[in-house]
Amino acid sequence: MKTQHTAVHPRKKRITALKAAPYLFIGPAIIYIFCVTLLPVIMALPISFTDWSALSPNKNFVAFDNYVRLFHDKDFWTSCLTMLEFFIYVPLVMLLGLAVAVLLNQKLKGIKIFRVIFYSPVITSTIAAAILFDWFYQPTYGLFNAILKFFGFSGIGWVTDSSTAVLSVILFKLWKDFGATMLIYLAGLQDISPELKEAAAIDGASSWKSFCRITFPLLKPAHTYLLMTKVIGVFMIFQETYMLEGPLHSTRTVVNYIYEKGFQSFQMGYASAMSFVLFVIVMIMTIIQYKVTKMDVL
Amino acid sequence: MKKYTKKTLGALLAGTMMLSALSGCGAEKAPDSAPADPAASKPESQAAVSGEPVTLTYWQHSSAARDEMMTSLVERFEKENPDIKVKCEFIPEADYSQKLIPSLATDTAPDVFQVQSGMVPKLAEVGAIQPVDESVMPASMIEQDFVAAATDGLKYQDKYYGMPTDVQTIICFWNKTLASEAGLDAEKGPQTWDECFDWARKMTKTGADGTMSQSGWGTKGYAPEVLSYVEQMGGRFFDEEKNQFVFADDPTSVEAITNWVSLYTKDKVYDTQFSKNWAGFRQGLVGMMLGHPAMLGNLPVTAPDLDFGVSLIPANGDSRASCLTSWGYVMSAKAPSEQATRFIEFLSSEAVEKEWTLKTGELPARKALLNDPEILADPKTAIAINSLNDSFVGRLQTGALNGAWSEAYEKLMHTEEDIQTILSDCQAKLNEELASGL
Amino acid sequence: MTNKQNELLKKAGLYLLLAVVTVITAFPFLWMILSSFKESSEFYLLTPKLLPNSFQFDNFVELFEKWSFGSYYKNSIIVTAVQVVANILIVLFAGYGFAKYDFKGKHVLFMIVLASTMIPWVATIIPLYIITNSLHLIDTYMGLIIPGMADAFSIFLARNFMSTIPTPLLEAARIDGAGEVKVFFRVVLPQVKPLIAVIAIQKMVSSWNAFQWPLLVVNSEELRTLPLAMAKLSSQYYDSYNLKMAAATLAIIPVLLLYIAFQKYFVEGISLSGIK
Repeated sequence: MKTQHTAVHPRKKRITALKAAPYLFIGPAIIYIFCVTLLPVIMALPISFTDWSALSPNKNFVAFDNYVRLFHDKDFWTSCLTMLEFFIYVPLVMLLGLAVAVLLNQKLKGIKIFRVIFYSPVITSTIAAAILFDWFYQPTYGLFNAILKFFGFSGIGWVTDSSTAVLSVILFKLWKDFGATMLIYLAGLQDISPELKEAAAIDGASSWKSFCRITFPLLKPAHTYLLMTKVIGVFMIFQETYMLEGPLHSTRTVVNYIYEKGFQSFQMGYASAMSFVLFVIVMIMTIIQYKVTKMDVL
Repeated sequence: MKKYTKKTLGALLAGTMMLSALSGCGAEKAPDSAPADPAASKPESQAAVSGEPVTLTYWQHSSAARDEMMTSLVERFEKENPDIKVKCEFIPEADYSQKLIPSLATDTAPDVFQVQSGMVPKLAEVGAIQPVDESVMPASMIEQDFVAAATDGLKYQDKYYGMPTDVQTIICFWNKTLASEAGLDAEKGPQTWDECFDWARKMTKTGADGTMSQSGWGTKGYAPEVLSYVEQMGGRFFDEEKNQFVFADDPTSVEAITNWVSLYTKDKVYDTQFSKNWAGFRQGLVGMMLGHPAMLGNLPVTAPDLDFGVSLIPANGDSRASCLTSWGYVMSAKAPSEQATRFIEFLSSEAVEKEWTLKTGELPARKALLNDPEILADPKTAIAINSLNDSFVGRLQTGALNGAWSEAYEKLMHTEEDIQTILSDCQAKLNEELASGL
Repeated sequence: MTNKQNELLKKAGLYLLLAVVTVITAFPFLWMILSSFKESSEFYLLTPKLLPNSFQFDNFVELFEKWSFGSYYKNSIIVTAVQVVANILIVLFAGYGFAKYDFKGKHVLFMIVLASTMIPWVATIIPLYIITNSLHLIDTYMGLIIPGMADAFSIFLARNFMSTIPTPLLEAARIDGAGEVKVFFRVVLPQVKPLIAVIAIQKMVSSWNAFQWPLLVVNSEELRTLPLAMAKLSSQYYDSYNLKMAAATLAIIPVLLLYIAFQKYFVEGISLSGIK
């Protein structure tokens, strides 16, 4: 314990330290984000008002042409609709992750091995995994239809059929990513003291009830984090839909479309404009989420 | 359209510009390599004065055989040209343009690199590449020595901007076993389009419930195939003078494409849900394929048990026209013109092309090699070489153009939409792509 | 039914469930590993077989001898190690700052952190390349490493989890005379081991598999990382599936080992909130 007579001076010092400390803590991150993300964004904004091809440094100023064009671009809005279909992935991956995390949180022999196995798809390279699923999804000779037929169902077209292509990509993403969600929930579950649950058990609550009343609400930091990041993740879907491509652009999401325009049609100005419109949409969605989930941030 | 100037933008976005300027943002840099004046930036004179060798950076899309080959070629080139050093960098094929674009947007582009031939006019127009040095490779010499279809796509405003590499035509492959089973002449192959379509129908097997168990011809409208057919039928696909696609306005082309599509929609010789076409061909599920000679080297490795025949593309009367696609060796605007051209000349010299063909199976572009006995020794390779005799330049040679074509063809196969409407839409999109990014 | 029987039944049920999930998750994984022993023609069999014709190591040997995978491995390890360590520091500092302090501009700054994840990479990657070029960092380790040094989503995660640390715990330490930095290292860090493990693993996976940026910034063979090398295994007309599967299998090993090492933090049952 510090002695009392020096209290006045150090307290003042302490208050200054308290005031300065948060800036020192977040400083590196803010500087980093400014240089690596914000600055490029700031540079991309003026590009969105030009017809830059990115094939040379030359560009012409076109005012709002790109933004006007975008509102009449049917392909852009179709790709937005396609992206919307992917939102079903968010609740699915969260539920799956939570269920598996709860399962892995049981005190069972050999549970460690399962923790490793269930996480293995996450660490697999997406490229290699997509090659595998491409085979599994083959309609006539693929593995999945063989399984369906074994159980007496008729096979489906998977990625080769525009009506099931999105579903196929979602299944792939679930397999690939549920481990990451599980990991977050697992960390969250570790956070809940066993005493709390024991107290509930003594009160006579069934394990289901105790899960609903105690465990689930206490996982809020995990819920809000996952919801927010998975939603943003869906907006940014690119690689999976790039590798497992359905016919008739059935899996072309916004970022796929932006990529096509920027890197294949060399309309980097237009691609930048679309990126900023997408950015505004994501921003609005995120703010709504804040309000709805009553996150204590804003 | 107003001309972009620093002032206008500065007025609009003063704050943001400040930041970009602070960071030394290269995007706003005034173009230091003016498009029309490639001679303006030629640093080689400096090197010549100091006597130091000039170093050229070279990029190509990668494969094991090509990379190895190129490394040994460069060694030879450096020995023959002590004043030039070449630094090779090999880029994955699928990501090649993604890698190339940012380098062109800044001053980090390689001196000599490969691009798909369709990119040449685009890059030439914005001044990203420069024509080959006339003093090293005069146009007259190029025209005399090279197959026209291979160099035509590399020309822009009467100047050659590069030399061809990775030349491919379309030839015909069939599964001999399946052809015999269907009572067809498995040694000869389909010689005319009537025969070809007939083969496709005869080799297709469909069960009572309509599910396919064997496809006669795995065609899903790969652009060079369809272009070859349209050309042979006398259709006009592309107008060179206007630099525009015109097939949708040309009844002969529309009829030819309609014919081709009916193989899928009416005769049902293939189904995209049945199997991937080349994978199916390897597995003996698909009877026939049109494709690139590159498959000659590939099939024995991936399908060692497959007994397949090869012939020239089917003919219509005298015409064996086969669509030629290629990449080109080009040089960036900032490259030292003379040295870069010398390297390109070396890469497309007769000796190198011959070695390249023998080792990688890619076709040569020099006329002299079309009769080279060593290359013609293998009968299958000979067919591939002969296909060059009646080749014409393909015009869908960028990712975006090819993408727009595939999009339209998927619609033709899978939707009920009117063929003429789909083709007109596609033509409009293709022409827009041609005009964009300039 | 007795309590013991009940317990046994419950355990059996749990194991059954675990078995089902295992089959679903591990099957493609197992397929990949077994495929890495196959020859390229085995990838086009009419009825694909799970087991290779023979367990030959030719693919692996080829990767190391012909494709110099050893050097790619080394680069990937260097890049990942530096990025993971830097990420942990930057992210934990920031997460703590946002979680446990009130200060001017907090909400705006946090929103900026989040907003940085909302813009498609297509729009920003060329400007980032331009910046990197103007700093002469193209084709250097620095240029390769720096842009992947911190993950904004992880800051969000750290903030969320650290906000559950009870403030009285920190106050107590402050009253004991600990400075702010000391509070962070002595009081906060020991409380958040599972969080550190999660952040480390997440970053490890993303750094190890990073592709877009390394593709642009790396030119020389000497700087290539594993994902870049893997991309080179397919060429225009031909995918070397056998080599790709072997490379993917090889690539997993280090990450898997580190994951196993880290995952013990989930078993320890450390309470984050300190209410032990």
